[in-house]
Amino acid sequence: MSRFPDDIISVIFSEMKLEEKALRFNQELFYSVIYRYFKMYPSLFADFYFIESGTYPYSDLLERIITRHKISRLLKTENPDFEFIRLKKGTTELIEKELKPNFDKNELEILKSIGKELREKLSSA
Amino acid sequence: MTLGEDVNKFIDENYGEIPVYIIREPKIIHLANIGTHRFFKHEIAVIDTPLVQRLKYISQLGAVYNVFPTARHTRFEHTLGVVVAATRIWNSLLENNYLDHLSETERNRIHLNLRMAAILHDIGHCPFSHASEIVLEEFTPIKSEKSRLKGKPHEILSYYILRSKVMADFFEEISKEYEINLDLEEISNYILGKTRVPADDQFIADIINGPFDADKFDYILRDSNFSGVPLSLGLDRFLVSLGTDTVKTPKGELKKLVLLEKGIMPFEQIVLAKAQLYSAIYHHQKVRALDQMIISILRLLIEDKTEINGLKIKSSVDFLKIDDFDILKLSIGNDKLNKICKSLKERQTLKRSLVISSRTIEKEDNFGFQKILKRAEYPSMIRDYNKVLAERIGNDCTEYDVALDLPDTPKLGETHEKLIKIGKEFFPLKEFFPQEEWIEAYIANKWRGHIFAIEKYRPQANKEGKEYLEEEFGVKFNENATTWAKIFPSVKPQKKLFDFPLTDIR
Repeated sequence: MSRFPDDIISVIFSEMKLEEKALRFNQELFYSVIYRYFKMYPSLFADFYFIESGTYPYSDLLERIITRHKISRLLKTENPDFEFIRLKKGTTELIEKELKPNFDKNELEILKSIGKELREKLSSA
Repeated sequence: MTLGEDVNKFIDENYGEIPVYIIREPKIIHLANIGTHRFFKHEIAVIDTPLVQRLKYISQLGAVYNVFPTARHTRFEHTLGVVVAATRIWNSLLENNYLDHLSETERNRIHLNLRMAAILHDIGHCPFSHASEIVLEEFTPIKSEKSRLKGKPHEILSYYILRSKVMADFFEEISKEYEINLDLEEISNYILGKTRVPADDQFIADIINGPFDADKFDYILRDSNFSGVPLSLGLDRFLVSLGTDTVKTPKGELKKLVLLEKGIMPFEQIVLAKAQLYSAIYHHQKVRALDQMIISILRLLIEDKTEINGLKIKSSVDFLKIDDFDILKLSIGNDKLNKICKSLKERQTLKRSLVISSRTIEKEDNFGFQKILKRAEYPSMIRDYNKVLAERIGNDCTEYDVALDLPDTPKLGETHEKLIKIGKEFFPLKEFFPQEEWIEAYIANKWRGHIFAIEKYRPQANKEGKEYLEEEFGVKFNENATTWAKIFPSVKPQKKLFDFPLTDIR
């Protein structure tokens, strides 16, 4: 297998420039943006599905992926409330080198748009 | 053949015509933990069917009783507990005037459907409960239905059992005999957290499968009490703090179960309890090792097409006819399957050989660590690693003698839902206290993966496992990875087995 669902989210984190600036994580906002793109590009998000009967679109796979990023400490949560997330220093370069080659140009453009939108929305939330 | 057709055929061939017993009067059932409760005549007739009785032989917590000896509770007691919890939620909604929009006839009809969904919600569980879910998912039709129906494998099986012809015929007879009007389609929907008219009725499905469902109330209290791991829970207060309201969702405006302000404190306790149960019980290293043994047994059952009670196990749907006792009975014999069953029965478990965590991997290797973790999504891939590891160990080691284990983490999605009603506004739990972030940090800190192995291969599994993961993923393990595995000989000292001095192990 050349790429994993985790890789999609890793690339999005890097496009959010999370290594440069910590952002206050908002699960509802984050999931809602991913959900919208999931609807638009189902083949890119083929492993995901969302439960739509809650107050925001919920994906257990997405929750597992974010938790795995925290367990590995690639995604650091900052004190005192652990609300701010930041990518570990040097991660963006590794994502660029090891994960991005597994996506085509079109997919990378989509992931870049998602990252940009999330960065803007989380910055102002 | 679709999964629905497969289950329909299986139920027809293996359960056939289910007799409708004539129950003369309601029964009082005494239940440790939750008290004495009355069950209706038709409910007893359903509880007495082989499909529900089978749950008495499926442990609620897999083989956890090998670690927490009093955790002997089964899916059957849990099922009855969910009926009681669902009724308590329903009665609380009734007393607090949330059901005034329904006529008495409608209320009675929904109440009976709700209780029946609780009785049947777990009939799709397979031997050793959640430990079998991984193998269920390896069956392609279940995996593909998972994303379509948005449920767990056992919920999907419960759903399709209820949609089978055998069950339709049985419930037609039940309805005639007891002069009631059960809606089997809606009952099966509730099990998946769905309903035909979510704009009006989503709160009913939420009672069975939702953020504040009866299932959760029962299992958290039951697993804590019977395992002897005490937790502080204000469930009584929580149950009377529920209401209904129309809230915005991606599917439009739905009438959902909501939490009133007075329920915040017990909700916090429930979320904390969930995280602690994972840490103390479900993720206990010995429990995880036992789960890996169960996974091996279930895979071997299918691969060997093992015959149990006259039934050849060809796919995981066939697990619907067997239970924990059938598996433990396989402990006599000499082949691989028999030996693992015997080890499970006699608590000769796989043992830690390598500990995988952010504290056992060098700090600069987080990217490599993430590469290991993301494999957790694909059990077949983990299985391939086990095969390679066994080959590297040699000396007749097989994939069933070693196991790479990367446990799942608890879902906390409900804490982010805006379902706490204060005045006319709705808030998520985090508005009051950023508890879920703390808990996620707690989980990330507590998380441990392992390489397990049978006693005789532990030192080699440590050495080869460490080297293999380091080569494959570019990580470097520190000395904690070995030290925390506590590789001491448990039968008698056999120094020659170790290629490093015992004095190195604290």
